[in-house]
Amino acid sequence: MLSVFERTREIGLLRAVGMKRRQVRAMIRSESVILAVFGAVVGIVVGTALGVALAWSLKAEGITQIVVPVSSLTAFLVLAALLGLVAASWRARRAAKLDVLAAIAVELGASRGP
Amino acid sequence: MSAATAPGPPGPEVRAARSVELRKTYGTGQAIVRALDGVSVVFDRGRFTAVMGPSGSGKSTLMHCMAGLDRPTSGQVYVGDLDISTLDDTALTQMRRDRIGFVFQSFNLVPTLTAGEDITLPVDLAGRKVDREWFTDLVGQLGLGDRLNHQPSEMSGGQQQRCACARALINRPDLIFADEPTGNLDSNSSAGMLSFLRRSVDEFGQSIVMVTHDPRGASYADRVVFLADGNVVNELVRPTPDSILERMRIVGT
Repeated sequence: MLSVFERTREIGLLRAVGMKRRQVRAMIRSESVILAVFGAVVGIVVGTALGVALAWSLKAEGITQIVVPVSSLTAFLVLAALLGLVAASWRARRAAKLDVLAAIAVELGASRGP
Repeated sequence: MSAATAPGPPGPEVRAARSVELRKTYGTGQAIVRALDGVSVVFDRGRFTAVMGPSGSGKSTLMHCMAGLDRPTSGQVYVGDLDISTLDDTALTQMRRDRIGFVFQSFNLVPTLTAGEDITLPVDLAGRKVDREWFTDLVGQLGLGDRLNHQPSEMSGGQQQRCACARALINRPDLIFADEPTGNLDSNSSAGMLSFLRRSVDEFGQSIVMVTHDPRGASYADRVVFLADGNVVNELVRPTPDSILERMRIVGT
């Protein structure tokens, strides 16, 4: 993980060497979507495993059929991706508006201007 | 204040970049600060120019304006024949990507990328194909061959700066701006870095502008431009460390 300082500096550097605002937004959004989907996948795998285990342990109680609701799991996966996208939108806009010079001068301090 | 080393009026073919009456002010009224006070300067193509001056002389502001990182209050900046003062943010970003190479003093590399990925960053951002031959050549010359899969945290300061050099050169830009590139390096790494910059001018015809306060570093350049109080106050062609020190005393920087 990067600190706020490192992230600011990183985006400033990327902008300096030629990343367009649009590309910054896309980068932040895709990171967020990847993170959200990753989280959802982990949740689905763990949840499904636990659910199956539970159902299996209740075999004696007469629960013999195990059904994994693939379609609703898929829907939640898509929902997670969308939420990731929405959650990142403000951050993406802010990152794209970052003042390049201020960001790369963060630690240069004295070397900038008057 | 014009500063061409070539005889006669400099044609577009000998100019890598130039500024015309460049002004940058901060604040207003009584508190106004003139970081650049009407600077007209020419950086020649295929030459190594050093910019010197005390802190607050405007040398970094000049570099930032000429590299399209900052916008001047008034005046023009030409990179090649392109007037960059008229460009919007997207066009300016594209200009930096394709026509300018950057080497900063520190934090030059993206922490999450490997050296190899960082070097090809400007090409990848443009969605173009990397010139593998040129890449291999650069990496070899800079001795980075065994560092390509390393992240910045696994590299020495000198290796990081060399990596930044390779990235600056990968697009064969019109101009490389180096801002105190050896500021955080020991003398051995500094000398290696400066020799490489020198060589990239002599052998690849690269144009370089380097901001520095080190007379020894500046002596690698073909020409030194001295700034004070937001203006070019002097310049020196074919400098030596001694002649630079002497000139620094004269101009009081």
